[in-house]
Amino acid sequence: MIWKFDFESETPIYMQIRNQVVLSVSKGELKPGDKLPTVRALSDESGINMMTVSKAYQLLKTEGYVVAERRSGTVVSSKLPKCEVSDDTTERLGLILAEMKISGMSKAEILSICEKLIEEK
Amino acid sequence: MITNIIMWSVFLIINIISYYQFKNEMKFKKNIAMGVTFPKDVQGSEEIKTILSKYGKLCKNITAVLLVLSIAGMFITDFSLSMIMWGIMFLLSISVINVVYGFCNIELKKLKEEKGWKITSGKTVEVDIKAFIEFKKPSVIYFLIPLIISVICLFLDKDMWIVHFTSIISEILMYLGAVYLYRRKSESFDENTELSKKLTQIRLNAWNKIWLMSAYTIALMSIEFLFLKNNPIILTILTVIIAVIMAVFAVGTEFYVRKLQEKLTENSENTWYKDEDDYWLFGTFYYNPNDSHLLANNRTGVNTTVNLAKPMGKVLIIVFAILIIFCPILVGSLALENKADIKLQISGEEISCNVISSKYKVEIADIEETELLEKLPKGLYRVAGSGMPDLYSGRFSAKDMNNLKLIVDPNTAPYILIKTKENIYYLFGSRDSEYTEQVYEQLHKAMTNE
Repeated sequence: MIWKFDFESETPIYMQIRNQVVLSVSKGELKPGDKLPTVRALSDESGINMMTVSKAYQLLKTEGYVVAERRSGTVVSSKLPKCEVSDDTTERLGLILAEMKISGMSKAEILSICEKLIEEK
Repeated sequence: MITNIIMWSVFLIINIISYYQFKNEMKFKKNIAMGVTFPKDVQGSEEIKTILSKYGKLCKNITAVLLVLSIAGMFITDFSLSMIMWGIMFLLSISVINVVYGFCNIELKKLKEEKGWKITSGKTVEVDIKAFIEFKKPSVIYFLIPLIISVICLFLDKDMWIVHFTSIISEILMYLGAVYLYRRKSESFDENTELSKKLTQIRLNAWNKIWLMSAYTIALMSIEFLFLKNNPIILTILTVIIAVIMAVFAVGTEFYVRKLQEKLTENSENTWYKDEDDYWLFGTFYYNPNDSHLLANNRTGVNTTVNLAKPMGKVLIIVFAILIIFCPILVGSLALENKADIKLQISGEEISCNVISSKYKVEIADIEETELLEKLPKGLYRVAGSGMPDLYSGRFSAKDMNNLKLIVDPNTAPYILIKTKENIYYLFGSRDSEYTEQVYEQLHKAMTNE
């Protein structure tokens, strides 16, 4: 399970960590009950500051994707959050679709890409 | 002569090891050769082989020259000249092969870029989450045993307390080094998670063993000082043997781990593989501003290095460089002191003797007795100081004289032995026999007048 972090991205590193966990859960690479690497382990492995990793894990806890267990550490929650489509999400998706449409992609092509991504994730 | 041979033989060992390490670096381990990562399907390409062959031959020729120089150095009879040349040879031995390595690394990186074999930008990092292992600290009990041995030696041999105390501190440092100088990073190199875990465990075990073995070696040296301090020749031989055993173990472990890294990764088939070349300058110096850690594991083998992008990393490398450069300067200064003038004189109410790095003064009123010796005292051995062919200076010990401070030319008798009222002994001798005798007469007169 490879996680990739881009230090030149506009997305802050802690968000990248958060996104990688979410993607891994959605792909089935991480299942409910699976243990995440410890803060120190991920920091040592990636070179990312421990505070940054800790911030990412805190965010994941707040969002309900993970829980902190005393013995096991941080594990994927068995009760993953139900996501309601927020206005912000709709707006962002709308923007991406608009860009794809402007670039000349047909509806079928756009839907095909979406299907492929859903299957992967 | 024997001392000279031993000193120069160190370079035979260093240069042979450097050569084999260079040759070893030419073999692919974890997709890396000479500090450059290549995908599996191009590792056998002619261009890569040509570059490796070219630098391999260059390394061989340079090593041959260094070995010849090392052997020639053994026959330098003048101690001072030998020490100065030794210092120069030290610098050459630790740098020349590394420079060749650096040039080879640059050329391979250039080839990689030209051929489009480069896959990462240097601004991303990829980690295999499943390849993490639990890094267990080495058991402190194993390190306690050599520590206890040195503590016992300290209690039994208070004369050599400096040696045993240094051993104790060193053993504590060995444990701390094992625990805190290791970057807990996996050896993942491609998507084979189980293999990555295995390689990580191999490296960790080897790392801990080297530090533990070092601690036991230090304890052994404490024991030998306890029992053999009165036999300096046997002590020296045994110390050299122990040091060689330790060096063989450390180097052997390094090459063993490299061999395993090579063998275990030679058949890996990778769709994804890790490429961190951009973080390694000339394949040797780790520079990663995105890495918040000071320490980094070397890409192959067992060793650790520092991240030069961190301020402390820069400080450490500068300190290291200064020490490296200082070593030949120190050796050179010792060489000069070996033949330096020994100033022995009586002025006013005191007798003094000094050389470049040591100076002793004794008030004549404090002297209980004095004697002119034709030979050095029996059972003389060095506690702290220098014992060069033409100069002994510092704290020594001899039969019936535990607290002996001396500055003498061991080849030029006589020597003035002084015993103070506090039971401290001094032994002085200039490089001119007649002059030493004159000073003794003067001292004797001065004491009689007192």
